[in-house]
Amino acid sequence: MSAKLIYKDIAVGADTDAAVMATGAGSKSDVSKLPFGVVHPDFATLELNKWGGSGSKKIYNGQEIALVSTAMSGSDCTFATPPSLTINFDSNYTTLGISFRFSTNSVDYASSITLAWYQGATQLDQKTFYPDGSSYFCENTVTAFNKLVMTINSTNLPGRYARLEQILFGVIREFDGREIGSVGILQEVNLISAELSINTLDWKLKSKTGVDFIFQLKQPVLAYNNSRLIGVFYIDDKAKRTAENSYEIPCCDAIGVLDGDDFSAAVYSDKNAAALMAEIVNGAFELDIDSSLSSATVSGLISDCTRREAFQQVAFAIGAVVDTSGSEKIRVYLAASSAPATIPASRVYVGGSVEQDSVVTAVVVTYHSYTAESGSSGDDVITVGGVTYVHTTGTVRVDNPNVTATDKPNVKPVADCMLVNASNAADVAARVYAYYQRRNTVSSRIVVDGEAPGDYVSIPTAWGTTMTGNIESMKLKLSNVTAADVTIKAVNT
Amino acid sequence: MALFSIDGNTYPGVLVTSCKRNFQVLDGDNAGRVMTGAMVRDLIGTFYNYSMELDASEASLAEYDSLYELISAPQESHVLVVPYAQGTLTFDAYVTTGSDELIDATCARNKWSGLSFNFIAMAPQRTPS
Repeated sequence: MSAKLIYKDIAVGADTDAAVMATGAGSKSDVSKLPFGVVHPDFATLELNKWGGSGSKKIYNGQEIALVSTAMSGSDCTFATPPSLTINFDSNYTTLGISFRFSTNSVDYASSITLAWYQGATQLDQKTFYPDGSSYFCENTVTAFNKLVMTINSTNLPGRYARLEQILFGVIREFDGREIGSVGILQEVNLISAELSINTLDWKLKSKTGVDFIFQLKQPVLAYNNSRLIGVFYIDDKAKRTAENSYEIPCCDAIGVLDGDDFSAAVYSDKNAAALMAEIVNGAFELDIDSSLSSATVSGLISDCTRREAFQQVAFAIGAVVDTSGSEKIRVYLAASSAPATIPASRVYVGGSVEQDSVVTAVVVTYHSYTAESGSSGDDVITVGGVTYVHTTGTVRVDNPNVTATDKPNVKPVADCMLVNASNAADVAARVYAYYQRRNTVSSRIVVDGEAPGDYVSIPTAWGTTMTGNIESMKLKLSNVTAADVTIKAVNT
Repeated sequence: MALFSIDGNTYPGVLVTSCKRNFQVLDGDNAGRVMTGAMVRDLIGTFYNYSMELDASEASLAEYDSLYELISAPQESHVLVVPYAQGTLTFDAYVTTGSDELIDATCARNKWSGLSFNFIAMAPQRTPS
């Protein structure tokens, strides 16, 4: 299987929560970088064999340094006064151990370190480890610690500074086909963001290491097919252990994570949509917003809801597609509608179908306005953030001119997006109407070659025609060949 | 090196009277025909499996019983060495069923014969590059 899952078995949030203090750190060190990592150049120093004439050594010129100690180790590789780090956290964390990256560009590492875990003043555990390489995982499960003290006892070579580029509170594990029992991925978009789908990854692990895993909520899992990132997912629910070394792990994407957090109601007036999306995400994930949307604004109300629902309201109001597939970020973009990519018959399995929805005879969009005033009897009055608003509504209707006498009335109402206001209601109604006029949905199974939800594609049908539209969903099964059941919202031809 | 061993054990008194091998080039779930009529292979790899019949007439009772206990043990897999090409092949294999027949029984001894079983490879011995 060419599928690969990278599981970040880490204490989620510990990196940003960590307050790192050091004794014995050189003045150029910035130990606050340690939880996030820095790559040190192989500097020319006065250490033994560290100022060669080959030109491979770098002169210090203000490059970032996480930790290089003030003192060098002695001829016996030990320090007269061992450098140490104390890391305090506001919250408690549980990890299977701590990973260290000492030096990326040289074979320098601490050959002995002592770690002590605390909860408050109580020492939970202490252990000395003997790293044997530039990266090392100190395996030791400790539950609910909020302080970690690291002492660097010795270096692997005599006369060397202690170096440390990164501390990872946990370990990154990579699983390939030998350990992955099965991988099912569902990725979906809604072309008008009438809803914000949660992409999911469900996988089974048949571990060959015998390690006891403690899958924790929101730990990231990156799914790859060969070297292509399919998506980043987060452990969503309780993992199930089904045998001594077998686990079933359900995961969701960033949208799913946002669904677990609340967003407080607010009224906006010409608020920049990109800025509002950033507020909704609240730093939990990076955003990749298409430049064509950078100046879009929204006005109206977002009620108390989840962050996912709030994000959906903004996306719907500006006509954006939201997706996390193939990216470590939440992508926000306008759906493509030209220059379709062709999925050739040689990549389409036999057995596809096309489903045709009923004719939509009209779309009615309700728009909203919020005026900051106390209102009078009979007004629809709401209070948000201590401010009272009078809420009024109106509607915009788009009728289908091609309705025949035999068509059943089928009116699609859009009433509950309070970011639809008088100025954008016509655009919203046009988008929704256009979406519902795309009545044909193609269902096919394809060999995936870089396709992703939202892509504008052409695909052959079993009856010799070609249909064009945007991929709305992909149900992927990773194997040596990656295949997906896709649905494509076809445009009318 | 012995032409036949299980988990490093050889059985000098046990003769292999039949050794059949078969191979299976296994596909994953994503194999299937596409609209051009071509087959899309989802190759997992090639498995080599062995069927064996043994003659234990030259083996001591203890040697035979030892072999029987080993191949019928409730363990996930065995390390098997079997003839392959002009040499041997070593791989992890499992056994699910086997059979033999009681041909002579006295109060002091039970004599068994015709032991046969299949070894199924745990993983493909060859995988696509």
